[in-house]
Order: sequence, then C-alpha cells, then structure tokens
Amino acid sequence: MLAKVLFDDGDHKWIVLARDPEKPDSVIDTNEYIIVSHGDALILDPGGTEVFPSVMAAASDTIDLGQISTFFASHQDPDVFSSLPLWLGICPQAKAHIPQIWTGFLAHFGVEYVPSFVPIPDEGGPLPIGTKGKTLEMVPAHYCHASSNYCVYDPHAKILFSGDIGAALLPADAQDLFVQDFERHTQFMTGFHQRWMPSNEAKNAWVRRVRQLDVQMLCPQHGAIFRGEQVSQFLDWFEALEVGMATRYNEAAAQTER
Amino acid sequence: MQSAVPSALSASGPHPAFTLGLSEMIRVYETCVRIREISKLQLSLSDDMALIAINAEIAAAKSTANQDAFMILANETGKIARQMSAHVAEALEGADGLARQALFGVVRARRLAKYSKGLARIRRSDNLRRVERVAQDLDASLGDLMEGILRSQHEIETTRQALGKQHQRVSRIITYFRIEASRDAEHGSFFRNIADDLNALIGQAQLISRELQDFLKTRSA
Repeated sequence: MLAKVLFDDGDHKWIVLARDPEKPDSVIDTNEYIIVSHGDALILDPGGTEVFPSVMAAASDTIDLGQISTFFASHQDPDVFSSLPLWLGICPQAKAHIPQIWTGFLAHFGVEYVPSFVPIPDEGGPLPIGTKGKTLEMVPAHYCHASSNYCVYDPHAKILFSGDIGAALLPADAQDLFVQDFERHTQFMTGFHQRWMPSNEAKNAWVRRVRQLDVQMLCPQHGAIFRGEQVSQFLDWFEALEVGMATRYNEAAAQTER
Repeated sequence: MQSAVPSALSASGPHPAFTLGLSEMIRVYETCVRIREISKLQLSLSDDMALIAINAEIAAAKSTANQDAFMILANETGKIARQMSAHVAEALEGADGLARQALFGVVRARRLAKYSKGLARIRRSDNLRRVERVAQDLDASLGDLMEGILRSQHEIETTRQALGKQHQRVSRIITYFRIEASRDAEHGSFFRNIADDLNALIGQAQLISRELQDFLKTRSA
C-alpha cells in the first residue's frame, strides 16, 4: 500500500495511505489519512474491514499505533469506518468523532464501542488531535452525500479532507496519487457526483463555505488529490455541476404511473 | 524505526498462535444453527404427540370394550408428550444460546483473521507486540467461547438421550395400543390409527434424533 507524506513541518504531519494492491476488486478503493501532530495521531475515515490489514500494516510503518488517539468518520458508510471494532481493539483509549445522527447506526458495530464515540454536532466544530496535537476544524457538508456529513480543515497545513466530495472512480490501473490533468480527471468524477450528491442547494452551500477557507490541498476519500490551482478549478467545476440525477428516475416513474 | 520482526511472525498466512480459523468457526455456527432447527422440529413433534394423546382420550371415552385400558394408554401418551415438550423446550433454549454463541464466535474469528492478516505484514516490533496482544486476547476469548459451545452441546446431548428413552416408552405404548385394538371389534380401528400415527411420529423423532447425534458427534470430534 502506498504511503505518501503530504505535509511535514517537523511537529505536524499528514500522510495518505492509498492504492492497496491486495484489495479485492469488488471493494471500492479508498484513501486513508493519518495526521500526526506533536506525538498524537488522528486517522480520517479509517476505512472498511476488508482493507484493515493493509491500512494497519501501512500505518504501522509510519507511526507507533499507540499514538492513535483520535478517529474521525465523515459519515456512516461501511468503506468509511466498518473497521471501527478492529481499530478500537488496538487503540481502546482512542475517541471516535462520528456525526451525531449516525451514532445510533454505528452502535450496531457493538454497543461496547459507544463510550468511545464523540458525536459531532450539526454545526461542526473543533477536532482536537489527542491532548498534544493541533486542533482541526470539522466543516459541515450535509447532504454531500450523507445527510450528516463533514469535511476536516487543517488551517495549519491548509489541507481540506473532503470525504466523498472530489472523489473519483479511477480505472483499476491508475496509480497517480495526485490529479495530473484536471480536465481529463473530470470524466472519473462526473457520474459519481451526479449520482451520489442529492442536492444542488447543499452542494453550492458547501462550495461557498470552502471558498472562504485557504485550501492548498483538497484530499478526497476516493481517487486523487487536488493541489494548488486545481482546488479552485474543482470548486468551479463542482458548482457548475447539476447533481441529484437519480430524481429523474423518480419523475419518469411518476409519469409512467400517470 | 523499530527493529524488524522475527521471520516466523512476518510469514504470510494465519498466525501460528491462533487455534481457530474463520472457516472453522463458520462451520461451528452452521452446525449450531442446524441443531437449533432440529430442536424446533422436535418441539413440533411433541406438540403433534400431545394432539394424538387427546384423540386417544376421545376414542377411549367412546370405547365400550376396553375403555379403562385405552384411557390408561391415552393418559400415558399425554404424559410422555408433556415430558418430551419440557425436554425439547430445554434443548431449544440451549440450542438458541448455542447459535448466538457461535455467531459471536464468527464475528470474533473474522476480526481475528483480519488482525492475523495484518500481523503478517507489520514490520515494527512495538506495533507487532501491540497487535499480537490484542489478537491473542481475542483468540483466548474464542477458546473460552468454544468451550462454552462444547458444554452446551454436551447438555443438548444429555437431553437428546433422555428424549430417546421417551421414544422407547412410546414404542411400548404403540405395542399395547395394537394389542388392545385387536380386542375391540367396534372401535379397534381408531386405536390402530392412533398406533400408526404414533409410530410414524416416533419414526420421525428417531430420525431427527440420529441426525442431531451425528451433528453433536461431529462437533465433539
């Protein structure tokens, strides 16, 4: 599994784990992000059960697993955090920041894990990395795509973890971790965003919110990372994109019934 | 970076310290589910037997020639049906618990398999020790769970043997029903039918019991 440092100033470091070669084809590819800050570590969207062995082994190459004090789940999907019981088995003291409305759903992984949950309120808020690390910001991204959904902004590294926003379904042989050609890359994003993002209103509110942040790197949970100018290119592209396409099927079905 | 791990631990495949694999635990679960299904079948058979006993009592009341004898046999049949129901209810409760335990086992074995797979690739000795401890605890809990499953299966086997004795008693009653039926020209056919029904039912019960015995034997092995 690929492990790449995205930012490092000595005390604060972003690492992405991606492109697991042992992942079964039937499992969607995911990117996991580790932030090590002043000795404490946070994992953003730690991934599903199926990729856990690879993620754990790759994480083990970069950090002492005992450093992990915090987990963050952008939303409730299985590729985001079905590895929760496995991670909390290794790091029982760690806290898992989970969207408030999804906590009851994620409790189905085992009620014994509920004491580790820190519900994220609708308005988002600070995300401290353990007791020693820097504090990041949880940015609401509701309905993009989940009904309670968050991004994480790091004002120090100027990195935005965007979850499923900016995700791309890349061909199986794609190895580039960063977007090389934005225009070419849109073909891998269009269908995903049109289908998974249900609301133009929610999408545009998110774009406006993110435009107020100084983002140098936009890191999605699937696909490739946007850097520099590509970030505003992405925001422009996303703003112009019509989403919620599946409602067409509802309309078509309603017409047929009439 | 910490020192590299011993080669035996970094080899691929299941960790040598782990005793129970996921596929084996799934087999245990499937067996436990089958045991529960069989127990449910047994319960339905004891309900059927209670119905036959009621029919026998009604037939006995109508009989003129051998009323006392038939009533005794009918009462005895009802008594055995109630005893069988109690035994089967006990076995079913055990079988429900067994299936639940086995399902927990599958979940734990699945987790253990993931840790085991990850362990084979961990290169840092501090992380290796950490994950190994977690995996070994999980393995030990699986071992305890398996012991519990075997204990429950042993209890179900004891109940199965007790049910076998009830089946033998019913077989004797069937013989008596047939003898008494041959002495009653007017209502004999009623009791022959009852004997036939009971005979079919006990045949089914014995088949089920043998299947259960095979499952329990397989598991113990």
